[in-house]
Amino acid sequence: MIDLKGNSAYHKHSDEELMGLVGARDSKAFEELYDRYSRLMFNYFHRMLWKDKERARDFTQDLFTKIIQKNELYDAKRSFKTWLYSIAHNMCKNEYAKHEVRRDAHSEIKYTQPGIDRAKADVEMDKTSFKKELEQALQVLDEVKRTTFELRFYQEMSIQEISEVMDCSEGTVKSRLFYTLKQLNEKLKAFEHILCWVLIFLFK
Amino acid sequence: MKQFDKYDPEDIESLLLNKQFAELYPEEKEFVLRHLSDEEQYNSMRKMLIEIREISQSDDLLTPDASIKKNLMAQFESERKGRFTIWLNSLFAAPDVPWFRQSGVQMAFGIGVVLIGVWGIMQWNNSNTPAALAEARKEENTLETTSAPIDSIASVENEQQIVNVDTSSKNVLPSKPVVLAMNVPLQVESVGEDSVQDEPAAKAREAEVNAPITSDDSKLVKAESTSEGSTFSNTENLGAATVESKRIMSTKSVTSLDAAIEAPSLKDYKDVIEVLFTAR
Repeated sequence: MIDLKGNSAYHKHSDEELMGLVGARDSKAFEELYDRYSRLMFNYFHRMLWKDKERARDFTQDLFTKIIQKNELYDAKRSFKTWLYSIAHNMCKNEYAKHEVRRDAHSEIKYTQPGIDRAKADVEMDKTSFKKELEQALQVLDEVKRTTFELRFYQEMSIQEISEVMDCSEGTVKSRLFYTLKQLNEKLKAFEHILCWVLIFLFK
Repeated sequence: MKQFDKYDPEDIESLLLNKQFAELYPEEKEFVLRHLSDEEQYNSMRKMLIEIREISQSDDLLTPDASIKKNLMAQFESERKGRFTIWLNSLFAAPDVPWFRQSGVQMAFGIGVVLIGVWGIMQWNNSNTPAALAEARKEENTLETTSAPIDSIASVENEQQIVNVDTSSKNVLPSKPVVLAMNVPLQVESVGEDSVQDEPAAKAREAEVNAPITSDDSKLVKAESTSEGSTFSNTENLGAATVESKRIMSTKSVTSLDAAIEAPSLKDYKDVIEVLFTAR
């Protein structure tokens, strides 16, 4: 049994030990876990859910609510981090499914509107940095590739951790990463070419 | 199996991050060109990957609202209390179950039975302890003493003290055996080593009995001598028995009356009875 005296003692324990204490209704253990992961998860949701802060806020709260209510589902043999990310990943997947339905409905309305100024939009893109270009290219990727990329480069997870979160083999993760990079490269290159033409057109 | 087969796409990631195309070994180049079209694509991907790394590492993390934490902690507390309520309900308010079949009631009944049993056993044990028996006898003797004709022995000093000493000890000299002994024919042979058959010894004992005694004993003897009839009253019996017991014990080199009272044997009782008869 873990002997915890004072708040400082909670910092010394692993996520898995703390999760065991959360199961025993220890509020300080839960607080410690929240402090460790709340920022990471908030930023993960923010990045994965179209940079929507309100949505990221709600999802972060929902995620930790799940930990409170369903902590008995946690398998102590498994890494807490990957368990947490797999829940977050599933939440995002569900949201994408909902969003897909909404976007289809929205697209139908949009296409009925006349005169969308494509040139204006391109000029706006012209002002963005590489970071924004990348963000846009990522948004175009399918959900699986985007998640793999996000976990690898923004959450800095190992291939093994990603395979646990996404419930697939390590080979599949490696392959997905490689083809995501290749696809991004092609998109960004094409994007660079478009930008070049737009710039030439503007400064002519 | 060819040497480059050991590489997989993840290794391209590390190669891209760490080496320019020109720095690659021939087998690494061969492997890279299996997945990428040419050197230009390699360099382009390398540039992009390095930029992505820089961006991801320099990205400032957003901080969630403090209200999220506050809400979650409140929820955690309410969840904890809620679970306790659910547990209590499962004990005492299970639906569609009569009250006498609620698990909490059954448990409480079981615990109650056990507690009553333990209490009963403890009471029984207490009533059988030497202290409790002594207390009971003391009460009994006190009642008997108060019923005795105390006027006749009112002049005796410290008699109550003697009685107290006798009755508070474990080996109280009972009045009944003495009275019963009065009705039993004198069995001088059974007395043993202090037998009155031994004439010199009997004489010595008689002289001892008639010898002047001091202190409380004399008063007790006086009280004894003033009594009438063939039987003594309880107090007289007890007083006389005490005196005689003391005397006999003193002849056996027992220096303390308490010590003598603490360890009397059946033989001592017989001695007392015998001496009482002799004195009579």
